[in-house]
Formats: sequence, C-alpha cells, structure tokens
Amino acid sequence: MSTPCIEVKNLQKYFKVRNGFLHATDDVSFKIEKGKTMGIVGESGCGKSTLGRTIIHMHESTGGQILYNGEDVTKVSHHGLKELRTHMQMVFQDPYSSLNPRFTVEQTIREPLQLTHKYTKAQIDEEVTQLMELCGVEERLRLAYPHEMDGGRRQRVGIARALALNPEFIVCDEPVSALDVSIQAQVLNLLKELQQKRGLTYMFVTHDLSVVRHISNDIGVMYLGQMVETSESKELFVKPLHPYTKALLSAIPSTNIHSKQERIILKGEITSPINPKPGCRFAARCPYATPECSQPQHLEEVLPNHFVSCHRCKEINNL
Amino acid sequence: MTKTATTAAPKAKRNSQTKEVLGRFTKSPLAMVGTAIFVIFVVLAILAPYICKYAYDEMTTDILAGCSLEHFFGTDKFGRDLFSRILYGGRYSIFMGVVATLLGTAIGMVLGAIAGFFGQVADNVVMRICDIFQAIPGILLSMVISTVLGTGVMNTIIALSIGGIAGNARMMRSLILQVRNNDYIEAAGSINCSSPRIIFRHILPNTFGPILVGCTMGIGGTIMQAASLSFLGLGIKAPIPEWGALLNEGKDYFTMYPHLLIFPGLAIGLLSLATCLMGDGLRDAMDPRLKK
Amino acid sequence: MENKVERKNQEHFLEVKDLTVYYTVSKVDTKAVNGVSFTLEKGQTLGLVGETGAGKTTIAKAILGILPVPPARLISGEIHFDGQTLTELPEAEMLKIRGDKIAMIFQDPMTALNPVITVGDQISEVISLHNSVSKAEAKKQAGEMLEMVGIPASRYGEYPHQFSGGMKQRVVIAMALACDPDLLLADEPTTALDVTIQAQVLDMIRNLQQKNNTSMILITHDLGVVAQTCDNVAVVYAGEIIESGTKEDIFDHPTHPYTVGLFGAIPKLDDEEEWLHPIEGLPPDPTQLPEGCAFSPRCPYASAECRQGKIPTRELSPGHFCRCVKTEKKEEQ
Repeated sequence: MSTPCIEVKNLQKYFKVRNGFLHATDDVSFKIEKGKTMGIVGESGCGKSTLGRTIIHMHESTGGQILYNGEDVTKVSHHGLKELRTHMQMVFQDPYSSLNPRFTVEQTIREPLQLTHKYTKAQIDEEVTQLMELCGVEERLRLAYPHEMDGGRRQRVGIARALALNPEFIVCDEPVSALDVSIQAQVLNLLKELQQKRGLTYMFVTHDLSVVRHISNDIGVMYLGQMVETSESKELFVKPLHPYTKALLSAIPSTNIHSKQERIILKGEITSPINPKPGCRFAARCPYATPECSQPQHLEEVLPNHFVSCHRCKEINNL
Repeated sequence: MTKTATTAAPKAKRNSQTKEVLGRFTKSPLAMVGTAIFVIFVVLAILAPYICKYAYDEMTTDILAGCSLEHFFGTDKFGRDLFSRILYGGRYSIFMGVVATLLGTAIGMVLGAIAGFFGQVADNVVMRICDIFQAIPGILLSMVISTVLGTGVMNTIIALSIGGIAGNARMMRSLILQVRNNDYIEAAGSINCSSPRIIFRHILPNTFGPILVGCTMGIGGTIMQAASLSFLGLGIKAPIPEWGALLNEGKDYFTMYPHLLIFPGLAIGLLSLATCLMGDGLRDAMDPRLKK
Repeated sequence: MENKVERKNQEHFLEVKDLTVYYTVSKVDTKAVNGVSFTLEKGQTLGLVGETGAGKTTIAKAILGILPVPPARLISGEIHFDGQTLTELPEAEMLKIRGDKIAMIFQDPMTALNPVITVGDQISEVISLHNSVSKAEAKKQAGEMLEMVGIPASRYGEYPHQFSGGMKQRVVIAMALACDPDLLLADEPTTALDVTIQAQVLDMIRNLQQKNNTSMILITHDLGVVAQTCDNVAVVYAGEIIESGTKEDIFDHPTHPYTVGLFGAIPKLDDEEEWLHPIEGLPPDPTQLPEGCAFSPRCPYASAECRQGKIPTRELSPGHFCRCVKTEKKEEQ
C-alpha cells in the first residue's frame, strides 16, 4: 500500500482549564489514504473539530505524531509551517463568520495568492476567475460582499479560498451543517466534484451521519476525545460494533416511514472531559459496562480494517 | 481604515457596507437634523470673522443690552457683542471637543488593541490602569490634571482626552476579543497571513464601526466637560470667549440679564444634542435590526 | 385516516384559514406567510416542514398571538381553536389561553430559561400562574414534571447553567407541558441537540403526548424527525403550504416538485447514489415573490402557466393536497 496522505499516531491535544486539563483529543490514531475521504462523526464537544484543527496545525498538539506523506510534521519550524499550510487547508462550518465582512469575494480569494508573492497581478486575477468558476461562484459576484450572498454561496467562496493555494489535504469542519437541505446537497456535490478533479484528500468532520455516510470512504466515530471505532464507511453502517456507534446509528431519525426503528435510548449523563479517569469514557452510559471498562482501552482490529476500542466488543457481537 | 478596505476594490459599483451604512444614515431624519446643526455650528465658527460685525473682544458703549438687530444676542458687562463671542467661542469649544475626543479615542484604541491582542500580562496591566482611571469621576480627573497643567487650549485638551482613554480602551479590547472569535481570523492564519496583516487588515477594520459611534457621541460630552472646566475657571481663561467661560461671566447677572446665560447654554446644549443624534443615527445605520 | 370524511363535517380542533402575515419595515413588505390554511385534530401531530425563512415560525407565532406587531401585520386569516376564534380574542383572553391551553417550545433552550431563577421555580411559576394552587402544591407539581421529563426532582433547586443542553431542552418542555396544554407548538425542539439526545427528547415528547392526548404542531427542517413523529405533514415554501397530507401521502407519494426535490437532496442511509440531486437556485426573496407559483423559478417542470395567477390547490386523493398546476398532467403520464 502506498504512503497514506495523513497518518495520525496517538495524537493528544489537551487544553488547560481552571481545574485541570480538558482532554479534547486523547490517543487518537488513524490513516487517510490519498484521494479518499475520512469522515469523523461524534456529538458536540467530542473533540472532532479540535482533532481537525490540530492536524493542520491550528492548535499545537500535546503529544503523539502527525505524518504527512510519511513525513513527521508534528513539530515544524516557523518556515516549515508556512510551507505546510499551502498543502493543508480548512473549510469552516459557519459561512457567516468565516468570511471577512469587509472583503469582497475577489479580495477573499485573492489574499492567499497574494501572500505567496509568487504571482503577478494578472496571474492572480486569472487564478481568481478560475477558482470562482471551479467553485460555482458567478462572475457577477466578484465584487460582492459576504452580506450580499446566501449561505451556500458564501460557503463556495470559503471553499475557493481554501483551494487557492492548491492544497492536497482539506479539513472540512461541518461545512454543510449551517445550510438548508437543498443548498447542502449543492455544496456536497461540489466538494465531491473537486475531489475528483483535483485529487483532494478530505477529513470530513460532522455530526450528521447521513452526510458522512454519503461522502466518506472511511469513518471514525469519536466519543469524548477518544476514537471508539473506525471502519470502512458502508461496513460501519451495516455492522457497527462499538455500543456507542450502535446507539448513535439507531438514533438517526430515518426518512423511511415503514421500517420500525429499534432505538437504543441511552441513559445517564455525559462524563466530563476535564481530567477524565482512564478507561472507556462511554462506560457511564453504556448498557454493557462492567468494572473492567475502567481499564485503558485501545483500538483493536476486530475485523479486517475495522478497529474498535472496547474490551467486550467480541463478546457483545458474537465474533 | 474602512476606506482602505473598500477603495481597494477596483471601481466597485457594488454596495460596500460603508456605502450601505451611509445610505441608511442619510435616510434617517433625526440623524440628518443632528448633522445639519453640527455643520452649521462648524461653518459659523469658521466664518465668524466674516459674519460678525464686532470682534469678540471689541467693547461698545452698549453695556448689558438686550437682544436687538444691532446685537442679536445682546451684550455683556463690557459691552461686548454676545453673538460674536459665541461664534468665536465655538471655535474653541468645538475644536477642543473634537480634538480631545479623537485623541482620547486614538490612545484608547491603541491601548485596548494591545490588551486585546497580546492578552495575559499586557491585558492585565492595561486593564488595571484603566480601572484606576475609571475609579475617578471623569470631571474630577480633568479638573486635577488641568490644575496641574494650568490653563490654555492644549492643556485643556490633554486634560479632557485622558478622561476618555480608559473607556475607549475597554471598548476596543472587547471589540477585538469579539472579532477575534470569528472563523475568518483563523482562516487568515491558515493562509499564512502575518500577525500585523491579520491585525490591520482583518481585525481593526471590523472594530471601526462601534468606535466611530462612540467617538461621535463622545464629542458632545467632551464639549460639555470643556465648558464645565472653563466655567470653574480651570479651562480657558478670559478674554477668550469659550462657552463655559461665557457662562461663568454671565452667572452673576443672571437674574437681571438672563440672555447672558441662555445663549451660551443653548449653544452647548444644541451642539451636544446634535452629536448625540448623529451618533444614534450612525448606530442605527450600522445595525438596522436594532431599530425597534 | 378512514374517518376523514366524517371529521370534515364536525368542527376541527384547530383550524387556520387563509393566514397571511407580512413584516413591514420602512415601507417594504416581507411576505412571510401567504394564505396558509390547515386543520389539526385532537391528539394528532402535524409536521410543518420547510427551509429557513419559509415562514414556519411565523405561523406558530400567529397561532399563539405573539407576533411582534409592528413590524408584523396580520393581513388576513382566521384561527379557530377549540370553539374559539383566536384572531378575534382580546389580549386579556389570549393571556389565559397562552401557556394554559396552547404552549410553545422554542428552538434554543439556552435562551428560553432565565439564568438567575432555579429551574424548579421556573416551572412552578408557570403552574401557579395558570392554576389557583398553593405555592407548596405548585412546587410539588413542578417536581413531578421534572421527573416526568427524566430529571430527578432533587435537581429542583439547580440553576440552568448546571444543566446540559439536552436537559435544558427537557426543562423547557416540562415548562411547556406543566399546565397540560391541549396544543403544543414545538419549533425545532431538537435542532440544537445531538442525535442521541434528540432521540431521547423526541421519545419523551411522543410519550407525554400520547398520555395527555395533546395535539402538536412540530416545526422542523428535518424530514427524518417528521417521519418518526408526525401523523400529518405540510410542506411550506415561501410562506405557502405547497403540499399537505398524511405522512404516508407525503413520504410515499411526494407530488409537488419541491417536495420531490427535498427528498432527492438529502443523503440517504441505505442508498448508494454517488451524486445528490440538489434543487437548483435559491428560495425567493420574500419581499419580491414571483408571480404565480413561488417555486417556478427553480422548478424543472415550470412553464408559462405556472408564472401567472394564483395557483389552485388540488386534492389528489382524500386529504392529500398539492398546489401545482402540473400535478394532474404528471399523474396521467
């Protein structure tokens, strides 16, 4: 197998808070192959956004390794970081706050190109035109300000800005959750199209399981900073192995009105991510929890390419 | 700062936010009344030598005269024409009000920006100093400073502007913290924007609006403070006809010759009202949702 | 729905007739709701589905009589509820109905609670406002309400900030249900919540609704939530109901091009399609609605007849209404 585009090994990111450390991302490992999409799902506050931001060095990691094309980029120099950022970009969740309200569409897309000091003005103008066309932003909006556009168009501008430096890897942080269904589909299609045209590698962070199912090749499920299950996308939905994944999948309200859904309703409250105890953080809400769950758990390859972090996994699923 | 951001767009025919704000501002009747009053005052003050028949310190034989065609606002105890004195006085009052407010805002912005950007130690130091200044009532602070520095236009401006620094610094700091939270600041970092560029291109222009509103509304207050200082004999001394000084001169004759108080008082009041209306109009124009 | 015909003759529990609401700001009319009519029976749940700005919340606010007037203006329409005409009632009468007979759950639980009053006291306040009960009795009932929504009564004395988002929304629901309302207006009650918590809250609302035989209008943009919760569905577009019927009508036989488009635009869990089918274009500007069918600029089937006059509502099968001139022709094909 070729070198994965991104490989994360035991990545940790802790934030210092008043009474200790908030474990936003704890001991997370996974790989994303070139040209593929890795979906990261989890509920609010599970650290999925932090994970994305840490990988592209918006946050400094606390521990662990980040490999980009096989090269360790965890601790890069100031200069190296500048270089790295031209390869890794981000698309943000909220198209209302991700664009500077005083910049026109053109200014927003042009800025990353200008900052490289590599192009002439004419080249930049040409590139902006192409990026706008590529992302489906009409030429007449070139001088428009963000407040004159709807959410979908703004998101397209945000995507164009991310693409300006011709990156290889893009973290999409809930890029469609602020958009209406009909617009959401437009943006999802655009992202897929761009992936095909430019061979992009995505990390797609979202809480919307049907979206992640649609766009991802592989999916990682996070719960309170830990990766509890990673698997190939279809398999995860057919054969979820971790109790949390099962509950999560059963909770999606299906649009199929004839199949009666068996819901796993979780009891109990979410554990605090501040100074958590070792062991499985889902144990407090898990119907299968035993005292052994307080032992540290690690992702294990239970089925080919299907990793689960649960010591009772085989037992529960009769494997 | 807004200017640089908008004029950079080549021959933009589109509506920038600044243009839209101006459009809404000019549509608000109250704001336009305020602007009109302010502009009239400024024009009158500038053109005073061409409008007035008398110099502000020219004594006539008409002592303590009432309103007439010869002396629109009457005369004072030395027979000086009150109309001329108010117009000439406006030069000092408006100049001091505007300059002191701008100065206070500018210094406040810099300090607030330092506190907001660098945080931690810088934030603590700047904010605690601001606390100390804000603990003293503004007018008292100006009085103390003005006593120390002495009278005169420049000294009064310094005394007045120091009072405004703390409030502006506080506002600037909170604005910066607010703007910094936006994703576009993070996005700017991810496309390799340098820190100065982020500060000057992405953060500062977006804090400009509320500061402008505060500044406009502050002018009226500062003019009143300037007048108060002069009234107390600390700001500008006779024979310069600063409005507060006019009030001070007139107060002894108030019962017999009320026009000596009424006209300077009216001038101060009208001008403060005008700047308040302008500020209000600006704020509404910037955030149309606030209105009702 | 076998007794549909029978019901038609009697009075409906809630009937909204030709409701039209505009927001007027500096002489520009924003046409939020344009001639909406629907009915709701006792114990039933109606789902109002539509995108942001389609006018769903305005409909709910009009029923509850809490439209901000001005800028809102009720242009036309009658709302009949349980034998009374709400649109004609004086404010004093409406006060009695609000909270007592009709209650509303707002989208954002974070802002719906007063941060400086304990959650228990907030619920008991609602109870004592609408019932003549002693303080102690109200307190006891409030404790019971908390238990009912799955929060231990021992947390009566805690403040909103001590609760998680899902629990706050449950408190809001407990407040809405405290006076045992006959009609519950739920405006995106689970949008701010995570999926697993959403499942909990929806489950709870359904159980309480069945127990008390409460009618509900559920406003949402999530077709999945509608599928799991509602009996009837009305699809709202640009302030008009463009299609309505039973859940089966809408989910099995979507007819209006917009409804069909909505279903095509959502990624499905059991479907291998590589590309989604988005609805091209954007919802119309409510200050300048197009002539004729509001969806016509985005509609792949639109023709000249769609762009003029008022589009009539047709009954495709008993109870299944669709506002589209093309419906019959499409059926024939």
